[in-house]
Amino acid sequence: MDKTEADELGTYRAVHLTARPIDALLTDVELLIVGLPAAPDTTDEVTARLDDALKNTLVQLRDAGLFLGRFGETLVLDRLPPPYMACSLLVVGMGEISRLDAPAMGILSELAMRSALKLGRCAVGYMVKPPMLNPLPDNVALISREVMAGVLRAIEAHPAIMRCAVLEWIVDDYHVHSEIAKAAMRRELAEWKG
Amino acid sequence: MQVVGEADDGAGAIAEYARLRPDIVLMDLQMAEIQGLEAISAIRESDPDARIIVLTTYSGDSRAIKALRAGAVGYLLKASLRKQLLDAVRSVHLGGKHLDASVATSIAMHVLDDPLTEREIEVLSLASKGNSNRQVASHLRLSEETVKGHMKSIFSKLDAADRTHAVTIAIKRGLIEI
Repeated sequence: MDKTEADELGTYRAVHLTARPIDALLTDVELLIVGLPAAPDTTDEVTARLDDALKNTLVQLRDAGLFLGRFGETLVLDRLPPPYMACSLLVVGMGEISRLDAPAMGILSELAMRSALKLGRCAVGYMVKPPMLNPLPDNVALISREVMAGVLRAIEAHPAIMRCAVLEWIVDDYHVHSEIAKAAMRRELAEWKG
Repeated sequence: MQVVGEADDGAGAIAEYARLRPDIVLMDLQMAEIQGLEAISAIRESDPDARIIVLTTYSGDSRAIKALRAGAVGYLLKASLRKQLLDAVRSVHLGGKHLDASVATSIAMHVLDDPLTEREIEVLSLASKGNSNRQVASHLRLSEETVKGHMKSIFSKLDAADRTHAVTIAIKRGLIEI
């Protein structure tokens, strides 16, 4: 099991937000959320590893036109087989990579949180990330704030459907500007007016 | 969440959908008269936004692929737990797709394969009932050589060693019924 220590981001209503590196296979959560672009992304090692354990299911479904990875499209795969520790997978379509900007990443995180709330999942790993080969610190901060804003918007819009005493929302802590990303998310949460 | 209607068969499902316009339809595949796949197509033709979840005992890829291509947005096995069914209803209601992971993997393994033709399915169905190539040829009014050609193509497409193996694979994947 993945025992990596988490960094506190904060709490909003009954959602506890933390950040830590997530192992797509070993992290024990009820719901793992990943992104799938509309076209193959050779730089995305995370989805590749994850899909490898699923015998390339995601890529094959996309190639066959059954799940295209269009922006905002979602697919839940329930009862994940070993070696997954997670119970189910929510795949969020990211559309065309070249069109993904900070507000778009915020829309995806809002969609993801809304789905997690509707499904009543209490431990969620969020791994949707923009493809950034050379991320600039300012961009990282901007995207991270939008991602947090999206999460907060969803919580605010759906207070009545919270099915857990506390929903543990773990954001994958993956990139070189990790501290900048976490600081930006904390700032968005602190300044959030709803 | 409220059950607003029920139907005994495909024709009833089509009629009840038109009358009730439910948010979600749970559809069996094996029904009298009009089967589930036809009912899915008919409902989606009348309402392209219809959200249909298949609830079935068939775990093979063939029917799942056909159901999804016909417009179903969810595919669950009857062995699923109540909670999984409710999850599927909720995620489909949100506008998403929902699949049992084992079904999705099974679909993915074969969805890009060269499919069997209608004639090949006919040939294999007759072979599964113990008919020799000559008997299959007689049933379908083909030459024995033509049937041999179909069998060769079937073996290749299913990666089967012989006709028994081909029949076993086809039953498992839901390509033929016995």
